[in-house]
Amino acid sequence: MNLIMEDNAQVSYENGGVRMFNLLSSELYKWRKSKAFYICLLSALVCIVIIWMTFWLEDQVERGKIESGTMGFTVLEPTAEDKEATGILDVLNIMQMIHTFAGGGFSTLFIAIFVCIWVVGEYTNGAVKNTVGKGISRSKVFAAKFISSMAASLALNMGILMATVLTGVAVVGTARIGETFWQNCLAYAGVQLMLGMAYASVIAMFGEFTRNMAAGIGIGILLAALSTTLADGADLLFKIANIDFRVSDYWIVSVIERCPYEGIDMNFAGRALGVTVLWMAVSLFAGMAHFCEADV
Amino acid sequence: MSAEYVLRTQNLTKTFGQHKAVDNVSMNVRKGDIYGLIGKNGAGKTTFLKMVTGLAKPTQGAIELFGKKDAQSGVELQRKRIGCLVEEPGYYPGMTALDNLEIVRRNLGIAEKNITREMLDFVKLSDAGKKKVRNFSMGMKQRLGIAVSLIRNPDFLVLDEPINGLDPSGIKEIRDLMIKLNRERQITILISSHILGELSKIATRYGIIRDGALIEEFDAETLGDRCKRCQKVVVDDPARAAKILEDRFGIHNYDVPDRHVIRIFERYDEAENINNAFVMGGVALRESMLVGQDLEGYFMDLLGSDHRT
Repeated sequence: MNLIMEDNAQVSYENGGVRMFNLLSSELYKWRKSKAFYICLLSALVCIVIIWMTFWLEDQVERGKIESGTMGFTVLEPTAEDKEATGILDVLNIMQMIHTFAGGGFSTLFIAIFVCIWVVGEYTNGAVKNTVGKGISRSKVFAAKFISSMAASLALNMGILMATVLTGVAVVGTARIGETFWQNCLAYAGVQLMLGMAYASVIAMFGEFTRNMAAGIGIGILLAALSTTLADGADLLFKIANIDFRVSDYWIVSVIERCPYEGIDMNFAGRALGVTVLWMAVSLFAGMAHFCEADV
Repeated sequence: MSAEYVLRTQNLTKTFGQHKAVDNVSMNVRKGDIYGLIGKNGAGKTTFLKMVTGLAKPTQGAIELFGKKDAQSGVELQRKRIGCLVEEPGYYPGMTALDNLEIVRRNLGIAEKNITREMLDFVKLSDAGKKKVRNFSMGMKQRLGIAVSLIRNPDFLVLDEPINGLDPSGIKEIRDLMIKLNRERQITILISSHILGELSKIATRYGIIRDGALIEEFDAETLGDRCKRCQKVVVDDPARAAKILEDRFGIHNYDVPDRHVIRIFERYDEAENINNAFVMGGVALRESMLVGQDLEGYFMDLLGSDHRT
């Protein structure tokens, strides 16, 4: 059979190399086919809906519309003494809830898990050999994986934000939405989506360093759960040493956590942009340098 | 002339800490060769092939591909002419064979979309349909790996243990494919394998690697000569025996594969006289026999008697 052996295989080259576009197209194809992405997204959405439904149930019990103990649901510490008049939804701030999901450890955890699977999976299944072994520039291969990691985290974070807002509005009702809600919501979402991409880039870098699924996910969870405490500890040490520098002002997860959910000012937005660019650049160059020198 | 060589390495070395996995290997693969790289487990075959394909960086030494030696002359660009299957085939287990090939096609920017289906036909995987690769048999996975390595019509194919884990029919399929690619498409093939008998059916040139070092390179004709009938004698002092062979009989076509063994490849009809001469010359003769050596035995001798399996 002659088949593939025909010389009609047209390869697009740019300065003798495979174009970045080709690698990104391949990443997009893998993303579309990746069950890990859909499972992560679906799990996050289910969690959000369940948490909102829990608040709704609590509200209903507190208002006496559902008897406490129904389906095993009991409110131990009611929101107010006057259960007839007040339920938890009367005092719950949707923006605060959005911050809990997008600015707490929730979205960072899902991003860490997915990006680890996305990056480390290339090594565990050995598919990275198919690109590197074909003489494709290693920097381009890493850059494509890096960009696709950030794009996937953007989509994941966007899904989490949208689900939180839509479910929240549906549960709480439009009557309690203030005039500035949508403005605050959009500003907050914009900053968090940007910071989320930088966080994904850091995870992609660690994934490249470790090339091990358990180690990568472990580091991801550690960063999501504990790194802000460590950054605060470092702040304290600097303060004791009378050095006017706060690590937490520049650590990506601390900035994600401290993002104000109402009235973001230009000062914070500017710092968030700076931190985003800083961590993206550090992760890209460190990851690329490691990948270019490491054995596959 | 270097242009006749697809691959030449000079003192290629790879160390991991204190351990030299590949030790000063200078190998020559000529255009059109099916080069069999032979060595036991841990001998350094895979590490060597990884360096050739760019998957690992050499600690020292040089690689010349298609006559291009250094970065300035474009040795990296020449890697685009290589198809490789090193260690286990790399694939996305949750996807179909077609999806896996589509990813490679996109990576390489091959415009011809049909190439993926044609490749599947070529390696006889078109019937796999929507079956996920994780559910493939070992042979199917190997064939998919070969399809991936062939997708850009390479001039040089590097295959690391491609018949590992295959049943006899799978081995034959891969062997036939190798021969076909070499003869019909003039693809030069560098192949490592443990299954020496199979390798000897297709290889035109051999390299023996032991403890990271390339101990010998020879072609198929030389191998045939060396495996021909010989008089094998076991003596206490091979050096003295060798001197007798050369001085008394003028025999130079012999080798000493072991500390006490001499194989004489000529004048079998004088075996009795040679034995007598050894005894008269003060050489303790422990055994003498006429043998015809098989390929496997010859390779095992080269790899070291302590490595016999």
